Amino acid sequence: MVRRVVGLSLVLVILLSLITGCSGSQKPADSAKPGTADKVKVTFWKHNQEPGNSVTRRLIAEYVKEHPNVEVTIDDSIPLSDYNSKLLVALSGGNGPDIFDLFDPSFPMFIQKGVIEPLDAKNLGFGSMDEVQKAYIPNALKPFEGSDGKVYALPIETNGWSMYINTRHFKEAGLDPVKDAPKTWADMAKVAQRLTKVENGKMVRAGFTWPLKLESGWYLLTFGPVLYGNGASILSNDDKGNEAAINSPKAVEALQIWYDMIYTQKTATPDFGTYTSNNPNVDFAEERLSMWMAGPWAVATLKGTPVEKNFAVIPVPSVNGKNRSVATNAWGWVVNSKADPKVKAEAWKLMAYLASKPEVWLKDAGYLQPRTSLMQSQVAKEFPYLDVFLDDMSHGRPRLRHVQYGEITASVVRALQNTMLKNVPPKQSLDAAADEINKILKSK
Amino acid sequence: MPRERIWGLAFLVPALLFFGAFSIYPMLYSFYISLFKYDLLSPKVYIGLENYRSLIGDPLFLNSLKVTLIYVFGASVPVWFLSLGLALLLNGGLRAKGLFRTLFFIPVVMSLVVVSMIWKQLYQPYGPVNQFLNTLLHTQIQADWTANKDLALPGLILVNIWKNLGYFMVIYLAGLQAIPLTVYEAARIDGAGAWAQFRYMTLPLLKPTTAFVMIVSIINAFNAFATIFVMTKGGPGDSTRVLSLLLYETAFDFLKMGRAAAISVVIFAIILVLTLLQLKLTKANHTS
Repeated sequence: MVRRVVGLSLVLVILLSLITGCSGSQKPADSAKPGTADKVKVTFWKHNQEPGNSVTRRLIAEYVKEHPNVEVTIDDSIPLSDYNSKLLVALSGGNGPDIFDLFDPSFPMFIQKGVIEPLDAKNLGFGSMDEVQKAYIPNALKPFEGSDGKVYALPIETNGWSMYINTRHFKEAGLDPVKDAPKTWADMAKVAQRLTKVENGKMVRAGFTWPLKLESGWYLLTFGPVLYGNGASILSNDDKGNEAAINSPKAVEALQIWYDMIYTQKTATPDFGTYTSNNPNVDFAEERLSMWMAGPWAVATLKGTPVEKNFAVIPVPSVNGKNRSVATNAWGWVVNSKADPKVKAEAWKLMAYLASKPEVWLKDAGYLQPRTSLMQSQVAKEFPYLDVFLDDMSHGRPRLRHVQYGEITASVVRALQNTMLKNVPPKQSLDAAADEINKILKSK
Repeated sequence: MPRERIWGLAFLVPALLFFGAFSIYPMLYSFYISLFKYDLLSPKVYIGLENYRSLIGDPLFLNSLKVTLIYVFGASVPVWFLSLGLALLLNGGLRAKGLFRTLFFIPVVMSLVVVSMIWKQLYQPYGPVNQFLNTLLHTQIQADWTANKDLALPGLILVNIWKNLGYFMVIYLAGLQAIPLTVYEAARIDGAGAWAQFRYMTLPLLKPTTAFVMIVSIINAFNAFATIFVMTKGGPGDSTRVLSLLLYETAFDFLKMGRAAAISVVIFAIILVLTLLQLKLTKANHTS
């Protein structure tokens, strides 16, 4: 009898532990304030990136202190590489966060699927959407606009990808960092050749390289200025059409410029550098690379490195000295359209609070939030080369905006890699990409 | 039903529930959604076998299939011989064999992501792998293995072999230690030399172990994802885009869950056929 009771209890315990183990009890990454039943509970997701995480947590803690009726659960543990997939799975299962960050290429698809809510000017503390627009520099909210003309996010960071140069290397090579700063891609190749250093058959310093070992996003942000600057585009009708245009003669010329920089002018070897996506600026920071493209966020990553006192930022070169095109990328805060109306109202207020501190974001995280009020602030005046970044951003163009962004850009990146890393002629690579893209567009 | 059988079943229930919920159900659900057009955020649309039909003749899928087969062959066949060789060596009278066994087993317990990050550094243009090769072969290799069209796939295969060798060595060691010593004594009395003992005694008696090693190593290689995702993301171009990576991209970058599920079913079918074939061959050899 005793054995039977013990045995049965054991089976029950195992079964119960299994059931409770599978019940999906979620432990929040951080609860800013212990909650009571009448509090509005807001879940907040952010991709894992410092120093942005710390600033977010600090500002949310401040907000919760001032608004004790709100409890915010933050999850900022998901790395960027997994962020989109985890977000999609959570949203499809109805467990998505109430407020989360989203990067610009995702907007067309998220808007089309009705996953995110258009900005609510009233709850954001503005009289109208016109007032919201006026609070930001012109076109700053464009990356978050839907085809319906509505805006779906407030910017966390906006980057124009400018050119970082090593002024010490310039001087060493007898160049003046101001006078000799390259204005066209042809100048760029000539200057980079003079900066490149080869010792005993080894390239010990590269003048310039494209981010050939990084993710597709980097390819697009650095190929974009050459492609669009040369009057070409990925899709017909300046990316608004429904046909591939990536194999147009102008696009082939753009890829030829990319190819020649490495293979003809030999400003670097195809696989030069120790950079990784976790530390993309390492070669520039450690002075193995003289010129490199990155956004304002990179300034913070160069602090305490050998290049800290030896760098300058110059405008992105153009193809012909006239039509400058600068790639931009942006992250924005959005609100889940499926959230409870009461939660939504609080989420907008929280978002408004976070967006009202652009000086804090610039100073502590290096994130440039394009609010008009920021531009007159002391923090902005002290931020290195902000005038160059802003000037570049005035020529800015976001990456392709399309509901099939992921698939189309995968084809473009494959073509770029085939030419740059597998020596396939540019026309052949881009013809193959155009075929793929046309199939993708038809499969919609 | 006898009481013992009821108790037996009761104890099996937790494991069966777990297996059913986390293995059988997802597998069946994959089959199910492979018949739909599904992007996670909109309702599923039934399209029959269209996802399978679209895979046939798709150059991306066919390239991934080719890359996968090369990867699987490269990552599993050498392991069969190397792990057996190591097991034979470390089963003998070698000094400090315990230390060597531990050293070879360490990579097995390491996190795949950590392993990938370490090897990514080792494969840098001026990293230790190139330095070692340049010293040994008097060459001037300055390539980054993970970004080089000729070296990326062999580089990944090498990492897989290094990571899994210790595991299969331990399996072979267990197999070798299960062979009774009396069998060898009898063979020696009959005048069998070392080679004859290995060829006619050890190898045949290790057949079940060999079948296990072959099947599991092939399944592991087919399912390899983390190292490739971290080290090359399928590049350069499509040089290392194995099916598991294409599946992930199709699902989460292109939001084509139905098509991704169809790819997973194809992978499942290939592994199933190869496993059945190996089991049949092993059985046929055993009978003969």
